[in-house]
Amino acid sequence: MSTVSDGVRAVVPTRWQRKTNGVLASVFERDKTLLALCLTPALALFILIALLPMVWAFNLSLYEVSTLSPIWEWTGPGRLVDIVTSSGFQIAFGRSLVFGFGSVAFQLIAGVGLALLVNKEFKGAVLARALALLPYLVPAVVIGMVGQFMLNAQYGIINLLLLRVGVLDNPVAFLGLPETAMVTVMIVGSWKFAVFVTLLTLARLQSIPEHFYEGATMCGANAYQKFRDITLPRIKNVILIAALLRTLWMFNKFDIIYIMTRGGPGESTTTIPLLAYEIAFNQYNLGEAAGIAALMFVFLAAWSVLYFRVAEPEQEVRVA
Amino acid sequence: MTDIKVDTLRKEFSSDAGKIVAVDDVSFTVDDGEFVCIVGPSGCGKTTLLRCIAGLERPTSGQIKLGTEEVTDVPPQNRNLAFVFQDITLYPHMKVWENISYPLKLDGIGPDDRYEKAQEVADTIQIGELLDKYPGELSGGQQQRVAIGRSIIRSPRAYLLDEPMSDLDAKLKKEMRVELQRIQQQVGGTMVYVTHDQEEAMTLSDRMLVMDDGNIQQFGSPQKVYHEPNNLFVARFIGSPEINLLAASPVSDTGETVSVEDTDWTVDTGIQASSVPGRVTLGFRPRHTTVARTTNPDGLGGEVALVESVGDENILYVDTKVGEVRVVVDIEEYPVSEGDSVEIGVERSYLFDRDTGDTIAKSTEHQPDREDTVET
Repeated sequence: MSTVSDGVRAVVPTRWQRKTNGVLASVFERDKTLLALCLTPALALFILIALLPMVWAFNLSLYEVSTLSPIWEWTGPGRLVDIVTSSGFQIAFGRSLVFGFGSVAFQLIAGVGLALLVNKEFKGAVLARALALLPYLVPAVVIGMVGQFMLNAQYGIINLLLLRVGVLDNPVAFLGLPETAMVTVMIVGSWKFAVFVTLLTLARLQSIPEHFYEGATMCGANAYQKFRDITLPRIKNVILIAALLRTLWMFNKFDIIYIMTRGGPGESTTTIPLLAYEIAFNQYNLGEAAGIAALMFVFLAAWSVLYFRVAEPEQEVRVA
Repeated sequence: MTDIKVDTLRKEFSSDAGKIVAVDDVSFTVDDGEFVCIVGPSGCGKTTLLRCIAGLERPTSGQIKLGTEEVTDVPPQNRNLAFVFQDITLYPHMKVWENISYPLKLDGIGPDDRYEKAQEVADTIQIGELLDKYPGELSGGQQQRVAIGRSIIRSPRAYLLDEPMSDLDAKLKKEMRVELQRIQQQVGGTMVYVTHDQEEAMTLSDRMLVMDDGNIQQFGSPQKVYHEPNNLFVARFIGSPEINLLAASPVSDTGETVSVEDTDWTVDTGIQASSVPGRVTLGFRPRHTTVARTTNPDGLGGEVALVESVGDENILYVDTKVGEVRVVVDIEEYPVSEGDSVEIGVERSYLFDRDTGDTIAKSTEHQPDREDTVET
């Protein structure tokens, strides 16, 4: 490089800089190296904390394993059949269905509703959006504990309000009665996750241009028709994806139920994850618990495949 | 179809900087079946005015009547007006026929009837073969046709168009203009068309409404607006290349002769006005001039700085003592090249009041009935 006319020297890379540039360039230009570099950490983590335990659990489910004895006793795949045919499993599975689908239905309605509300432009809309997303940051333990306090029959605020308003004549222990416990846990547990649906839906809603609605208005559309013809087609897929994810997660939900009811009263809120926990850590039967978990995995995998086939959430809506 | 009466319509927006008056008490009437362009620079309030007529904006005060019905407080979906947007508002998840017939769907008409009607409309606007495509598969011009198709399917009371062609390329624009006029003749509707493009407004409209700063500057036929501008703003905004404006003072009381300020040039305007203020602006259109090559111009003139060749004509940009003067000349008649010294003769001119901007008078030479080339 030469000196330019006004006396300012052009920047000349040093030998070291040239060398590092060369190495970096060769890494970034070769797709395969770059790919390996990017994927390896995530892949390693996945194998270590997801794949290996899964294989381990599947293997475990074929043995009779007690926490009190170091000996694994081979039982074979027949064990899984035993689990499926046992009434305890079947009833718990039924509860899981109720809890899972019920929760997701609640989350979808509340989540999409909330998204539509805070999507409107008004003074403080940004603040409202931020506030609406806040519950997602609250840990499940906190939600469970607060929920218990609020729902308590003696000093809970919910009973107080319902008594004052006149909906109830006597205080109700919502978490203490088999008839109300499940619904209560569903609502408390869904409150937080409705926001997950809001998060996804809101992002999509914000990408719908305002003039689409104005155009429909000029065509004579009312509010419902605008929702049906513009909003819904645009958010349909994101709702489908949210529904799938939420079903998978709600079926596996353990923390909120355990915190609030420990599966009770009686066994009225003992879903599959709680059953597995009970068998593993109260009955010390690790093999059977692993079997339950494995069955759950198979069921959820089948459900996902079926869901993708039927609902086709990956089908992108035309946006242009 | 109906006429549109706008009476002392006002629209204010509040912003951080305070109140902004977008439309400042304007009144006008668009006759039944008339094609009116609202034209003005960006930010003049033309789109706001149109949106008020549509009902998409609520006016601060004033009245809008469609025929005999007052619609100021009627929600937009109940006004039965068609609106074509600048951003083409086709629904990407609906096929062309669904887009065109969307207003019918809202009326609860079944898909078979809708398809049939959409076919009819699509044939009118010559996109009959595109019915089963998605908007994403169409070109910009075709998309805008679909949007127009959607606006005509339900025979609205009037069509409102907000810069529908600003995203199209120049050639397509010309085609669509002709097409739009054809469609208008076919459906015979009242049309209000907003544009910032004076050329578009000149070629399309029966009457044009020139707006600036929330006010109507002039409302009249393109010929009238071009030849008899109300004020400096209209004179400058309409016509291309832009009108030449020189600060001047009258030599005679009638304004027949004016002297150009800061020079010893005088210009014969051919104007006979009853009274002329002391400070005027002389205006003459680049096309209403003659040029003569001379080595030493002693009148209005100077050196040709740039020659722009536009087909048979040349646009000359002449450097004079008082700034650039634009002249349009016939290539054959006046072969002038860059660097030549020329003297410019003014054939027709205007005098404007320099303080108010209003037109004082124009040359009597111009006969309104004479067939004139309106340059755009």
